[in-house]
Amino acid sequence: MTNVQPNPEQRGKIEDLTFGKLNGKYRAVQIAGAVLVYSALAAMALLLLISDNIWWCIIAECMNIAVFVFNIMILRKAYLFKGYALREHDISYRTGMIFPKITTIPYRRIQQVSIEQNPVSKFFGLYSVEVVNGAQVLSSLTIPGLTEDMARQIKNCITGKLADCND
Amino acid sequence: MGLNAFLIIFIKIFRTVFNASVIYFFIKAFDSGLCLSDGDVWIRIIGGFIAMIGVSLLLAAVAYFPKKFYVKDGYLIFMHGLLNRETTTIPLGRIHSLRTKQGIWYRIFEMKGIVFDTLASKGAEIELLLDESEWRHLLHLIDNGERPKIALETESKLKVATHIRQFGNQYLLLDAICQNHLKGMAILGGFLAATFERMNEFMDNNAADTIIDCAMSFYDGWLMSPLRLLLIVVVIYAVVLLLWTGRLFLRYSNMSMRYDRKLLMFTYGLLSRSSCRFKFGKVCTIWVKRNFFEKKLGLCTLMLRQALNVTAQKEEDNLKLYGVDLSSFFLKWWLGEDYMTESDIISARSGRGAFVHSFLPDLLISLIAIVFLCYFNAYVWLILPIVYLLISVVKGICAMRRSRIVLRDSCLVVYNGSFAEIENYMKYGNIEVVRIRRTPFTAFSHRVTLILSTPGSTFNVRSLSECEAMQIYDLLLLKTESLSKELI
Repeated sequence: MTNVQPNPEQRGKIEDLTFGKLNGKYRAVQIAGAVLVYSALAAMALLLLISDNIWWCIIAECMNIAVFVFNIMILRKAYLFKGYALREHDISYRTGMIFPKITTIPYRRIQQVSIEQNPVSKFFGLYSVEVVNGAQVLSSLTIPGLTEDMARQIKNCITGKLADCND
Repeated sequence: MGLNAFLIIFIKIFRTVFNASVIYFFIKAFDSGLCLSDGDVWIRIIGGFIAMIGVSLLLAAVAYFPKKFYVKDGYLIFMHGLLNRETTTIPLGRIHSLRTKQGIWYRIFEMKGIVFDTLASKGAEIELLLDESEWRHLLHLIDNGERPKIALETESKLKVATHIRQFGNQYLLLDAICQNHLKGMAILGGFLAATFERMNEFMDNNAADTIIDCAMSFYDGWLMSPLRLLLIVVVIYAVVLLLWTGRLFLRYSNMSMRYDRKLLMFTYGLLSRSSCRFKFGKVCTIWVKRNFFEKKLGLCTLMLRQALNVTAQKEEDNLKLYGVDLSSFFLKWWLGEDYMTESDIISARSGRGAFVHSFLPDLLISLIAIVFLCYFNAYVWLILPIVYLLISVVKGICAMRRSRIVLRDSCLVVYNGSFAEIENYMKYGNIEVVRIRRTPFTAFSHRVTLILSTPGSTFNVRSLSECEAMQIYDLLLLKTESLSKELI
């Protein structure tokens, strides 16, 4: 057994990583998702018409529209910030514009990899890769906005690394 | 699983059926509108009782007969369900924890209820009911299945020595008294909620009104002075203390531990005996807590954490060791003899963000209370939220001072806690995910949160210097990679 002092300089720092961009169509997926969610909220706000004062409904709808516009405005920046990076021993995913997060899972800890599609992403022909590990929380990492080829490539890359780890 | 297992399943189902139907049967039996004779009432009660036994027997048979298990080729396979026939296969090496329980009925029939935890179990646990010989046999099969053949041959040559250690009840009681007894409020709350529900059932949902009337008459006749309020608080605290200590004593008394180099097996409980088994390779965190009183008396609270499944993620499902400070014994067992002498590779302390995180919720609660009290002109009582806020400031400062992360050669330690000092020891090989989180203030403060997750625990180390956190992040991934190879 060796016990050599590890040197992160030799391996490359997480700060220096170049994150791969998600497919451009993912912006449309995000917008479609936001439209669906805010439409549902607007419909729910209509229930306030039951109350005697119509202004409650108008205030709720105005707030909903304001938040929706703000959300659409930051979606582009959020899209540009999202990215994934595969390294020799781990996979990282960067997300969150207001609260930026970088999550890294070593390949050796991965339990399961799957490719998924929801109805909205299916409409745009996009896929997501879900990486599951055995952690108590943060037990899965989902990389959305990938073309079928790219999703399969990532999946094959991870499963290949998993096979190497088991050897 | 033999006849005794069937009887236990029957008793458990009968208890459920009885609880569900007893009130209905009594209301029907004594229904004044029906004008029945005493004989008819008794016939109805006996008939209902027989029906309950019949239904319970039927349900017990449905639960018992399809349940089968066996160990084959390194897998534990069990089949269950009559209509939805399910076969679950668990590789023996993937079993993380093995817990047993032995309640009163289990002890009468000399049986044990065995529950497995694997990382993948997201559904309800399935309990196996085994007698002592079957349990020993299963343990033997699992032990053999978990270890590679070569290791087994070597171990049989070396004859691993097994030791037994008893834990004194007096230290358990002493440490129970040293704990934060406000947790006992939860037990009291649960007891009162159950009582309230029962009262509601028998008072046609008028229990709340009755209690309010009673409290108002009490308030009018016994005007609240601060001294009387203090007396009430002291009495409630004494009750809570008694409940809390009693609960810990019932659960953890007469504890004994059988151990060797690879395994710890705890057996504990006064009336209902439970056991918990920790494999050397499956422990993912050792949690050590010492508050002011524990430190002075040489006591500590210790927890060995391993992966728990969805149904067992409550704090109370973890085995806690209260009593004499045995942390160095367990840490030496898990990390090796040299863990004390290792120097720190890198460490980082939390900044003011840790204080803000601890203080902010208390500040909000206090502000709401202040607004509420001012609205009702109860200015004298403003002292309570102010005192609470002052305590929160002290708590926040303690939390900020204690919060830090230290990386050593063989392990990393996350220090946290507020009034009590908490140490969390982890091996690099157990770290599943590492995450770094920034906030909108990071651009000015250069502080970030580092999140580590293992199969049985998660830690947020807040407000670390961005530069130090990134170094730790990289080093953690490097160590995790190199050391998880050794674990596998």
